[in-house]
Amino acid sequence: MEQFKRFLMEQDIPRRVRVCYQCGVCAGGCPVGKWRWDFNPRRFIEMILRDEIDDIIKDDKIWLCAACHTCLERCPQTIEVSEIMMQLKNAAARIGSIPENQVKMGREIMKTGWTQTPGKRTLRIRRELGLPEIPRGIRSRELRNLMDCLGLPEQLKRPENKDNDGPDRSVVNPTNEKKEKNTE
Amino acid sequence: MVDAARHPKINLMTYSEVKEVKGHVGNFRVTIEHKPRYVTDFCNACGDCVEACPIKVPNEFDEQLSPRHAIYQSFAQAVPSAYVIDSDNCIRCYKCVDACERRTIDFSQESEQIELDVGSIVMATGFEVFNPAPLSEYGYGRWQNVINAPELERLLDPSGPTRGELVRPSDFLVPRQVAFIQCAGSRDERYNSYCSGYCCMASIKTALHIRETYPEIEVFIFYIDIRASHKGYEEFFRRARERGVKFIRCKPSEIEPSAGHRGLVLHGEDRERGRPMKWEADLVVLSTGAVPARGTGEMGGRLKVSLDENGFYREFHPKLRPVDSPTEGVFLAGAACGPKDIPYSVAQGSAAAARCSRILMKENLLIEPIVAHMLPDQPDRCLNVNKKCGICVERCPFGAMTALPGEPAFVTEAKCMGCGTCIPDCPQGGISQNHFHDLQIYAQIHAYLNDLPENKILAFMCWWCSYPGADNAGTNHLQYPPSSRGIRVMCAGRIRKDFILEAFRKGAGMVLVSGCHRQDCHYITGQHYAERRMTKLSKTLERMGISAERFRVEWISAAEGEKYARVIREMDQALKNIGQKRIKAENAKTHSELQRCLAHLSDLSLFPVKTVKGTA
Repeated sequence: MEQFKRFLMEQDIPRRVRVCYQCGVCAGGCPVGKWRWDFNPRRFIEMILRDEIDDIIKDDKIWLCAACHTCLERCPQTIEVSEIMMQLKNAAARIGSIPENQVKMGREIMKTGWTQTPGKRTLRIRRELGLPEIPRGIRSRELRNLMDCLGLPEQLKRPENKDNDGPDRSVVNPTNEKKEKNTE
Repeated sequence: MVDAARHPKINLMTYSEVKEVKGHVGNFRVTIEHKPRYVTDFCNACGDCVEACPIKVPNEFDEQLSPRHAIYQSFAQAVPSAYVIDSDNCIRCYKCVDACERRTIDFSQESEQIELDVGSIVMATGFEVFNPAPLSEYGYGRWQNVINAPELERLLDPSGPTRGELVRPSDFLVPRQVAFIQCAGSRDERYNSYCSGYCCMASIKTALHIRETYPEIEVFIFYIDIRASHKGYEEFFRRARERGVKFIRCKPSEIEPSAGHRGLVLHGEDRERGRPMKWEADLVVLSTGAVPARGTGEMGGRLKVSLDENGFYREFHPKLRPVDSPTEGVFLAGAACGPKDIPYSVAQGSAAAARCSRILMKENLLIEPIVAHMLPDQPDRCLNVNKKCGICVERCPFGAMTALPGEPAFVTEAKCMGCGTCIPDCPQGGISQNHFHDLQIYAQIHAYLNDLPENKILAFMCWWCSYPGADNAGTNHLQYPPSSRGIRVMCAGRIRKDFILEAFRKGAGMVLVSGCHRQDCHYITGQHYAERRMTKLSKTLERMGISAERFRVEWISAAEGEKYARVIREMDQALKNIGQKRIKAENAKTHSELQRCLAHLSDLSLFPVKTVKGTA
């Protein structure tokens, strides 16, 4: 927890959200919030303002943020809400608090290079349409090296390992890494 | 307005523009351009010409919601009740000339220049309403039924485009729900970071009006906070709630057209429930705030009135002189110097009129003697004679310095407020100030540091904040060590680097420079230049070998006696910690360099350092 707090301080998240006047534009326009009303970006900011960081870390809901940046664009106080969500995810990953499905997705990327395995039906349709076969596995050595350097494999190996004094500080931002992979 | 037009001593000059203002308080010469109206004063406003005119353009007064002709009267109650031809849109068909029975239309009119001698000027150039089109999430301009507050005001006006009937623009039906969105573009760092102050009450008033005229319409007001802070406002807010206006604590995040009918859907987080919600509304009104009127900047330039960070006119002092502009004799009224509601504007207008009469009632105007002046002995010293300098002009927030190309700069004493910020930055040392002559200040420095300078804290204090701050410490019986010696100057901006160097050359233990806080500077920008200068100086001193603790810069307001006492206590402690031995050693080490830095003082015949030393 100390490590997490230190990370937040390094990012200076508390200072960046201090001007928030809690108008709720971020929560009102959030496309995730439209389907899961308990996902409320304003509430996360409020929790940071009230120094209730312990509760944020326990909350798997931060992983629901789709990083569409709608909140960031509309915030009247120009708080980078979605950027802060990203950093909260990074911080949570750093102490090993990653939800199971995210870990699975990460492993899938490591193994196949895909965020999700296409089903038989998808493959059949592709064949019918005469599309080429999807390449499997990460070909790019650079990309694999990058993932290794960032410690992604270790990170994903020990999702249940929640002790915070491990060598996890080498993990800079596993979430960003996944994003990169998606666009690849 | 009619009363003002009829008053024998009020000369209303409409359709005119101030082109140039010369001179100073009591003796302004104003050049006014009177634009041609193409209709003579003989017009009796019968309106026959309007019927004859074939041109139709959007009516600015009706927020472009209705047409007007190229010959028109801006609105029915306009003063003077005179018609005017809009020469940009007129096609010169001269049908109006034929229609006019009194032969009042005269296309040969030309704009004329009028010169007036005036004693004082009030700037009341008003404001404009923020155009909410950039707020793309609200879709103003995209969804027909999203309108802004002035447009709604025109729709509800009995003389407006719909004769007072409230309809939604898309299909001219009476809306079933009307939603007001507060703070559209205000309190928003992306557009206007300030609060316009009047929109909450204006929306409540309009909402109440709608509820009373059309009880079947549901009215919602979406707000962040309702600011009902003046007399009677809270009661009015309560009355609106009593009449069934629904207040929802939410700033909507986006507006979309609703799927079923031609209404709109507002998405937002209901703060009371803490979850995203949807509301349907037929008509959405964006409560847009005030922005500076077009031309505010140019007019400010003509009258040497600077603008604040939001583009409104800057007052002399936000708390103590809220009606005065930095230029003596020019006063500010209404929303030209910041968004205001009606009572506040009326109060400021009355105050500005009273401030003007204070100047005009006297035969001669007395000014403070503490003004800057150019040193008389060497008239060619000013750099501006040979090349472009103008540093003093830049330093002066009051427009008192003038540097015309090829001529030495000069001071307009009637405009000078006497801060002295121009003096330290003159590269030639050619400016001085009555009562705060460099010589006088050097004499004070020398007198204080004549014996045991190592034990002393030399404190430079500004007239309005830091000296009264020290006074405050005294009157409150706050204890601080007796080692400080204060030198009072008009503004921290007056403090020359050389004063501090001279103090250290004389062996001062510590030097304190103090002034107002940045936002409170009584000379607008003096503190800013002082801060800049002192930050540079502290680096120089450190490089020379004077310990950083020995030079301190603090901004102390008149109420912060406790801070002054604390600063002096801390400095005294630091003085003891450093110890006389080290101070003396540092002084001895830096003496020759300081001597070199201050060599120019002995060159100037006015500052013979040696003789001053002798007399002190």
